[in-house]
Amino acid sequence: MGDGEALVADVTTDREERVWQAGGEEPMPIRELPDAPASLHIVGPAMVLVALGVGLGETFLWPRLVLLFGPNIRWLFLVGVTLQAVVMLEMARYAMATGESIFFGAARIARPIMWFFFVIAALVYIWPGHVAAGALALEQITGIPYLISAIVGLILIGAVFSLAKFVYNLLENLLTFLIGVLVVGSTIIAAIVGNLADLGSTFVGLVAFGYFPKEALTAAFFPLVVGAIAFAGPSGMQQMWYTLWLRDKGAGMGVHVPRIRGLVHQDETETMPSRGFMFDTEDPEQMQKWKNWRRWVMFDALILFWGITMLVTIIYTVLAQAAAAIDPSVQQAIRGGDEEASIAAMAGAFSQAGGAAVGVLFFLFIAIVGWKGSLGIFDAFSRGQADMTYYFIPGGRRFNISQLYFMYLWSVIIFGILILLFGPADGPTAILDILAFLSAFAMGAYCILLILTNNMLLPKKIRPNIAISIVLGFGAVFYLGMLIYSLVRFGVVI
Amino acid sequence: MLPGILVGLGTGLIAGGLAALGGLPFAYVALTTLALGVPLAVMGAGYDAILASGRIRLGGVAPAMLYWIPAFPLARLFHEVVLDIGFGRAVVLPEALMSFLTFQAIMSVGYTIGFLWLHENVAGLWWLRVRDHNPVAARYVGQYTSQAAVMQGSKEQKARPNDGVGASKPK
Repeated sequence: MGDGEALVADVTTDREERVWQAGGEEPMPIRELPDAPASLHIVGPAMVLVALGVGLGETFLWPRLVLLFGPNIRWLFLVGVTLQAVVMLEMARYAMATGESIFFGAARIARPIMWFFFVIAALVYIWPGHVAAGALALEQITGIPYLISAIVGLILIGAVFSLAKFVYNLLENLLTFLIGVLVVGSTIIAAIVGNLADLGSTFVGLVAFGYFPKEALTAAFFPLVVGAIAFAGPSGMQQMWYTLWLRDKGAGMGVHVPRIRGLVHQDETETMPSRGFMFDTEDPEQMQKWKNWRRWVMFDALILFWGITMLVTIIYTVLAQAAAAIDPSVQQAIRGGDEEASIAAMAGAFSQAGGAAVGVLFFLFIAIVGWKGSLGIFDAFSRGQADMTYYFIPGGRRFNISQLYFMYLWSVIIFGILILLFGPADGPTAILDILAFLSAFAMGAYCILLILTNNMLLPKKIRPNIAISIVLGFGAVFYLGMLIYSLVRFGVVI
Repeated sequence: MLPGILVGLGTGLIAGGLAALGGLPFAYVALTTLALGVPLAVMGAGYDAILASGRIRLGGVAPAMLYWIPAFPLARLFHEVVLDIGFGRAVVLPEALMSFLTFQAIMSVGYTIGFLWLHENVAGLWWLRVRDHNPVAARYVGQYTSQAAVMQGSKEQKARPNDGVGASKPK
């Protein structure tokens, strides 16, 4: 499978099988790449990524920025989501070519890089911020104290995953239904209350490249902007976890790696291989299959991920503009710095713009996306940490990967409950903002990681072209630059 | 045709349900649920009929979009007219009709994606039930299962039982 002379040194053939030597870890045996599915209907791990990605960023953080700075600030969103589509395609490139998670790829470059992400995940994702924000919104509609619904929501998350036979399928079905309702519901309400003029200015705002009001460059608002950019599309490490979903779904070489099963079906767990696999890039038939897989994931990235994320955000921008035109006092409430009041203020403005139903819609969707946010994140966090623990922590393989997954899942749920009960009294939105800010850091770091893994660990024929590496480099500068600027200029302490 | 009808009715229920939660008058809630749900359900059934005739491919985004770009604005227009009649107002088409229809046509893109998304999930379950006496359903179940075999079923078959067992741990 050599890519010319340079590869002779990389590909070794022992007596038993051919392998691909990638980085510092165990070599990958050569196996068959399966046939790619036809993109004949909406299916794929991108759906989970979309379902997770379309969340508080689109429905809360960005409408809040639009209320503060007007729709022209949206160009940053366009840049952020487009970058994320490229990142998604590159994450998929590594995962589909090897059947390994990007964390394993990080370890192949250098183990400390992988540990860096292990620690970042533990710092960022153990907080129950999403479910707390969702529960706060639910309290506005139903009067149920947020503490109760947040704790019930957390326990529910643990219960559904523990009882499901195949965890991924359940997650996919649940999130699919919720995102479907979210898209249809948002569209129908925007169609009732919006108008062509608002839509027009939203589109103009998306391409108002370079617009940056002076106020957004202040200590009060710049971190908000950075956080919101990190929340444009999948935030933080969600893209990295996407590689685990691809593997679980059997995309590309992931077909050779077993799936994670529910807690009550542990006895059926299959043997986990100790590393991923590679296919023969010198075989034209295999390369044709690879192209089909790339086409399949491209459909996911462009139509599902980019399309739906933009759609939801356009709808919520239309709603936010209708709200701001009617009730300018919302802007004052947000400027006043009372963050928890901003959810209520925005819902109030939405109500005035489109009738009480829109205000309720806003609360309801915040509640839904909040819960599904924690559901997806806790699942993915546990998946990622279990993956790294299994492969790289001494003694990790005394357990199977599903057992490790559930150890992490229930630990994070119990921790979440303790935080809700005894944690910082700052309130849920404060937790969420810290999370958003830290996300930018992980995102800049994984852009660099992708440049390294996909250019150093994959055979030449399936490496990304130079333009993609440049876009990823721009991504690293974009995320890390803003974060560092915020720290240096405004001294924001995370 | 059931999946298309269900998604259409569901959309009416979502709009009506939100109106009810928002404390809007019962008449508004009922009229919105019906005047949106029924035309969207009829048009959803129409989509299924075209799908069954084999003229468009299963799950195709572009054909579905072409279908809903005229259909969704019509449903919304019907909704507005019914609200006018229901509240005893003179039936006036929405002001600036062209601007209204253009806006609705653009929003139909959103509806298409949501419709397709939910439809794919509902339809699979329904076709599985009726495939024995419905050749169209049987055809689509065949497509789904062959895809599922590629994505999941082959996983267990293709993974070699000895892969990695006893392999040395990474250094």
